[in-house]
Amino acid sequence: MRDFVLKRVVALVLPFVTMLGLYVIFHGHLSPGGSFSGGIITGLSMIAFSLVFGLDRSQEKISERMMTLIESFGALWYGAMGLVGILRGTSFLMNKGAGIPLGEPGKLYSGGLILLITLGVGLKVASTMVTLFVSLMEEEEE
Amino acid sequence: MPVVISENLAVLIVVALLSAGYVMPLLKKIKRFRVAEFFAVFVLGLALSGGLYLAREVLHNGAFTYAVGGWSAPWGIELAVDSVSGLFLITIGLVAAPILLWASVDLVREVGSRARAAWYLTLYLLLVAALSGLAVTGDLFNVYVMVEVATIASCAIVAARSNAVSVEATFKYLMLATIGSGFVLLGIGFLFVLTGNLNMNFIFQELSTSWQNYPTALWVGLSFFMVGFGVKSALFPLHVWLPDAHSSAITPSSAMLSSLAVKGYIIALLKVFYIAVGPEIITNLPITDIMTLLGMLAIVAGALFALAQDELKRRLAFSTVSQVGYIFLGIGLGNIHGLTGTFMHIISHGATKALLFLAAGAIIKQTGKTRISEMAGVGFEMPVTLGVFAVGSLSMIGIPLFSGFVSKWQLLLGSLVNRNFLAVIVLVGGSLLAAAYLLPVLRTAFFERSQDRTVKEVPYVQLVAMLFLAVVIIMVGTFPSFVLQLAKQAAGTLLGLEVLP
Amino acid sequence: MGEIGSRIIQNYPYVFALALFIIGIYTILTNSNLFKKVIGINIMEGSIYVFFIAAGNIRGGVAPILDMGEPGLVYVNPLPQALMLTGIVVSVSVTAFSLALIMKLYRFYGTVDAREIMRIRSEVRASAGGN
Repeated sequence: MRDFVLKRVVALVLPFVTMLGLYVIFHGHLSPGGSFSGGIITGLSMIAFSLVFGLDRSQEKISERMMTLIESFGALWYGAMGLVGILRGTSFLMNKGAGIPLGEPGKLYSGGLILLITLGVGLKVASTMVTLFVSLMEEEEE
Repeated sequence: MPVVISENLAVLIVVALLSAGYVMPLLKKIKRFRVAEFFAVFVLGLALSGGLYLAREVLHNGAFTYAVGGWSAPWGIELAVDSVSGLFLITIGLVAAPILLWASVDLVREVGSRARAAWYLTLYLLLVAALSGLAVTGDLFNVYVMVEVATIASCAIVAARSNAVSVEATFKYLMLATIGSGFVLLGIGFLFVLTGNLNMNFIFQELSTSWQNYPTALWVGLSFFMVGFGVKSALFPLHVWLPDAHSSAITPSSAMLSSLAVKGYIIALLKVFYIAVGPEIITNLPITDIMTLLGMLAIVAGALFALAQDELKRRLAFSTVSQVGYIFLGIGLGNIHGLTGTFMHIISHGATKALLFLAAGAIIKQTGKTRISEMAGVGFEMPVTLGVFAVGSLSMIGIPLFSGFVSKWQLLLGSLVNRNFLAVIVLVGGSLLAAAYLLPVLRTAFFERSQDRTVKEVPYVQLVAMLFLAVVIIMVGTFPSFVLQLAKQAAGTLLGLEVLP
Repeated sequence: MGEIGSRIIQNYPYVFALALFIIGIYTILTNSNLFKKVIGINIMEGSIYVFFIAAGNIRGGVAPILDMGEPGLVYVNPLPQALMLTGIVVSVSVTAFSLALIMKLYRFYGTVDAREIMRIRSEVRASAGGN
């Protein structure tokens, strides 16, 4: 696995894979895809990194504790976004009705809170995929 | 209570539990881990008070719906809060909080490390959140999501102590529960194909006009639900995973699974059968007869299996199989008394079985003995624990003044109204069998002398948790009016009858 | 016969889903290799995806993204697809969880065969009872 060509190719491709994942997350309300598919792509780019460069190198980049933090943050972020509607006197997860400007259809900012929610869910999915992978790998090494 | 909270209470209970669950992993590094545990208990207490408030609201002002995100029924997801939800939310709060309080004493030691304990709390709160979600949901999509969250969380809390036996039991449970989920999902698919809706009220309206056009398809879909939820709630021939999973898990997990997780799927089944499909169709199809038959089989077979066990937790696990039979028998009877008995049994068996498992766990922890025959004379060393065990046993048998009596009385009335005398015999026989498998424990503990005099009573926090459950059992048994009223109204809601307060 | 045949051909996704479902259940119940059981679970869930997507599909329909330029387009119902996306998420987590359990079991018993594990367990129990 620790092959020169592989390392170079992965180093070249990975930034674009991560970009693609983030693109899919951010355009979830405009085109097919969304937080789950985008989060999976982003998470897979990190998994590919640790497969090629080793688990230790990837732990240096983002520690396991950081991953746990991101995971909890993603879930709590979703709840917080839902509460926005309640705090503005309407119901849970209310978007337009709670007075949040929707923006112009077809543009990136056109879904009110949806963009923020998908961002949180995307982070959660990506970090969960990595955590699953890391815990399975560590299980093997023990 | 501020209007902002009371209007959104139904969704806030679920969201608060989920969020609290995800706060737990952040707390694993704090200095005193007890703070995290008590925070979790506190959140469960909040959920209980929310459930009580909702139940009172439903009793006085009737059922209401809540549109998530402001999107009303056919487009958005709708929460339907009725007396069924109120009753189950109260059950969840009353049982889940004391179990976690009991667990907080030595959770870290039981599961191995602080990080694992934090994740355990996460899973526990996720399970409670999913069960509360099942209680308030009015949409099959939500039912599926909540059932899955509950399944994975309950499998994971079985594997909390990572030894060979419990991991193996977890794997067996996970495989069967996933097959069950597949069946449930196929059942949802059939209802969706037949009606084009996933909202329960809309499915009901659609089916009530058109079900005669395709009774076979409906029948197949309902059978899928029956098998799927049957596996998950351990209906007799499908119970094979339960004894292993419940006896090998750590005590709080077994108490939680036996008393609440199994009931959550029954609540989902009731909602699908009676609210989405409707009582007329259900009683027209042979499905209630099958449930009555399986329920009676479960009562007898579960109790006989329980009699054959010498390991205390295994005996209690098989007793759950038997008691789930009572719940299904009530559903199968299909009249107002039977369903009231079902709901009463959900709350009464929830508290009773949690109490019995906690007391059994306390005995096993203090003496290190798992077999009933080895427990001679424990009653003298641990009088309070064995005292509450006696309360639980009497309630399980159905002695008057304990909660078990109220539910069994309603079930008896239900079978007499249906002129189902076989069910009467089975109900009485089941009580005798329950006496036969529970009383020997007390006899061994109180009437035999032990050589070992070093055993001590458990810490007072655990005693408080167990005494709380015992008080709940006695209160429900002696002053059942509020709960019984709620259960009657819940049964009335399912049957489409108006029950006057 | 001809009518039934043409019906089957028209509804081929459902026949396909049924076949996959049976294959999946058969794999779970008859294979003693734990990995194959997990594969069986995935096949079974795959069949349910096929069932739902076929039920929600309209031939000639497009993805339900509002297009102001072209009125009169037929949109496919997104509800089953959303439900199946949830189903996929669930099946990912179930698969990951069961793989982790299998690794643990392998560490405890040194095998991933259910029958072997049963045999080892009964031997352990017999030796414990004999003492």
